[in-house]
Amino acid sequence: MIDLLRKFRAFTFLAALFTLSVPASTLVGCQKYDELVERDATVDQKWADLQAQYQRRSDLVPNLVATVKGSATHEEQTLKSVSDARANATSIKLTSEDLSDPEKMKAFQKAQDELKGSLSRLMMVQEKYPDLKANQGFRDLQVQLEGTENRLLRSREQFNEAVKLYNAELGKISGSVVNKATGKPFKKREYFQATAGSEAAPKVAF
Amino acid sequence: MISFRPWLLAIAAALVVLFAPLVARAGHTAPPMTSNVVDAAGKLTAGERSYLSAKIEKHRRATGFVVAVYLPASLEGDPVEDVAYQTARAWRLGSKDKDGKDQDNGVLLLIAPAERKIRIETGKGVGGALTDLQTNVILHDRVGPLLKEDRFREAVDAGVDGIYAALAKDPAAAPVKSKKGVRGGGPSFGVAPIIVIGVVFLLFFGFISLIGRLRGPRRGHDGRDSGGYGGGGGPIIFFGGGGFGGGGGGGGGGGGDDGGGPFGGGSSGDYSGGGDFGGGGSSDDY
Repeated sequence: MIDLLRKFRAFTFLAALFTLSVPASTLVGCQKYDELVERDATVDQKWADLQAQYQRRSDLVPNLVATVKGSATHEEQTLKSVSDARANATSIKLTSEDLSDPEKMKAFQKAQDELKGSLSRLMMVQEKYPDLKANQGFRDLQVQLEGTENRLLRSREQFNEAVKLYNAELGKISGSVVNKATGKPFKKREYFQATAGSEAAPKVAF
Repeated sequence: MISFRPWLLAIAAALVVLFAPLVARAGHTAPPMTSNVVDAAGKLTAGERSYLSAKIEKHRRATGFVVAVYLPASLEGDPVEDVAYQTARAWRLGSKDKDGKDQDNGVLLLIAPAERKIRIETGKGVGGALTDLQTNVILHDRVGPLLKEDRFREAVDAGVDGIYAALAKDPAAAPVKSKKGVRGGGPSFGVAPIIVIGVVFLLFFGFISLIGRLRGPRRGHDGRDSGGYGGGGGPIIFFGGGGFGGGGGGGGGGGGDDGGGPFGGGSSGDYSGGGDFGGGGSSDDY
């Protein structure tokens, strides 16, 4: 009888502890989930910023091509490669979902890097054409392009920063437990790899 | 004593590993923003500094945009773009609106006399009000020529005027002016969840102590060995009471943290701490 009572008391104690731990852990789990959602949203927002900068660069190209065409008469090949690279780069669109896909990220980056490379070659052309070099419209476009490259650099840094925080949170035990418990809605995101020569904006002296 | 030595060695090694990257990559670190005009290079007199600072202050009140001037003694080998970006970010140049929302409306004018480089860094929220092209025109046509003649006060003056003139021309981009002491409303956000948590804890511990109390008399009726079992019931009641107190304390702590959070960033002044930067602006040599 006493033994039974003792067992029963131990049981109630454990049961109380258990019932207590359920809301407590749910509360902690909800907070973790919210944190992941927030970091995920930050990555998406940084991605939107980055895309806006890529768009900005892409929008500069037609003006740039038209301006160069006016003064540089023997540069069909350089101009064509810029237009082709732009068409290729704008054809690859990534959704938020694709940011977890290494292959798609790589293809996107490759296309953008090619556009950057061809633009650098186009800016070099001015050395051969004094008219172009003195053209105010061309100078303005060059300033805008430099500005955009610098913005792209910062945007990429901030995107990677956000991905790092998100991935780290997801990699923690608490993060992965919450992720599994909620049916794995969170996936690791990919970083933007720094390519050779993409650290600094292309500089062409006047 | 000997047993301490490996520990000391381990700590020393850990410190070396920890600080090696800092030593290896010295680079430039942003100084604290002590004024609207931070002149580490010593190119301005105290009178010139206070004149320029007051001028910026006047413009800031009129337009809402936050401009700062920084003259580093040296860029420490870093590109001027990096130094301007990191300094502007470190200072979080920009104001907050009355709801405490970042306006990202800061602009930094950086003049590096040692490297003869200049840059205007624009905040994310400045956008079309001051384009990269406009900053380049200001640097190239106004600031650069004066710096070539070592006229630092006039160069900064012209730069500040140019920046504010461009910003004022775009009334659509003018941000809501931040007002002193109207940043209330923040803490109420943090109180509700704490009350809910407190109520949940209260209910649970109340429930547990109720069980304890209900079971108490039954034990007493048993009569035998009640001394030994009296202690058995005690811990539950005691646990309930103690736990309740603890829960209350935890809630109080959480309240302090939540209340402090939104104010931590903006405490340095009513117009700083509200700016993020995304590499906008342009650089030039002189």
